[in-house]
Amino acid sequence: MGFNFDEEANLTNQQLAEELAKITPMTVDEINALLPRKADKQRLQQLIEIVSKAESENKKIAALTTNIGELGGVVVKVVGALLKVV
Amino acid sequence: MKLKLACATTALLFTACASAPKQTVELAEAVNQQIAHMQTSHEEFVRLYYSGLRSDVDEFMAQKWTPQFLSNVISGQGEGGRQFRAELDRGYALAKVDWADAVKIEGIADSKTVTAIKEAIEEVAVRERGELGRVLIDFSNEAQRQISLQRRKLLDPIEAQEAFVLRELRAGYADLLAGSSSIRGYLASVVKVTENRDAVVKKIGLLDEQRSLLDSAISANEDAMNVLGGSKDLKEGVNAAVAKLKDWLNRAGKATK
Repeated sequence: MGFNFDEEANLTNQQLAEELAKITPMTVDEINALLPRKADKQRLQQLIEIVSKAESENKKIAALTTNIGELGGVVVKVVGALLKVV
Repeated sequence: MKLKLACATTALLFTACASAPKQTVELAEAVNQQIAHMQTSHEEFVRLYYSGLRSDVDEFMAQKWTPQFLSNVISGQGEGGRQFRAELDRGYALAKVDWADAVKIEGIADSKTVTAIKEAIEEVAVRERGELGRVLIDFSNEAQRQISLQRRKLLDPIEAQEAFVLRELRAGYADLLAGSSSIRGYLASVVKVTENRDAVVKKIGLLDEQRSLLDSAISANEDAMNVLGGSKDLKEGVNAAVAKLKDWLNRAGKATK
């Protein structure tokens, strides 16, 4: 039949309570004070979506200007003329 | 169709007035890399901090808790310790007994009975000598269980907190990188638009220049003809026309430089 030393373990914890307190991790409050403040996930997502949409628009514009550039002098000349009129 | 396209381009050139140098994208990439490095460094610091705490726990267990606990057990401070002491004392006492000497068998004549008694004595001697070993093994098992249990009690909250802190940091950095990458993507698109727009504008500018030169050539030619036609003196007229053309050539030369 085995032994049970629970009582002795509890007694040891009482005897060394002060030293035990020194090696326990930080409290939840201490941790929360140290961690960076969380970004508002929903707002962040919204902002990212808005910026991504603007990026997508810019890509379309860039593609369009590239195509126009590749169409050659005729169109560009017309654009030039239009610009001059404006 | 081409006119429509031209109108659209014109509109785009005016509306898409955002401008960004290439270096903005480079800067955004550098910021993203720096964020990634900061995350690695931040996480490493967290791991080092909690690793230090774990070392403190192991040192405390080895230097303070285990000696104090064993002392409490051996000195019989609790019920388990007292039971252990009692069984240990009994084990030592039994281990010292000379069972062959303790049981008198000289008066027994029957050899079979003597043999059976001797075998029984040997069995008892083995069993009782083993009793001390059993007590020590049971003590060792329970002491080890308590030490491991205590170590776990101290380490579990540290490990849980470390995991929590790392999780929170990673989530924070992931948000930061997502936002930063989005800005980088946007800047890259602005740079592309700027480049393409500048290319088109440059092309238009060059064509304008060519057309301007052509217009001025026609105008110079007309001026020369007018001067030539309006002059009474042929030599004077030719000289004036040549001067007009020279003037145009000078202007054309400057414009094409």
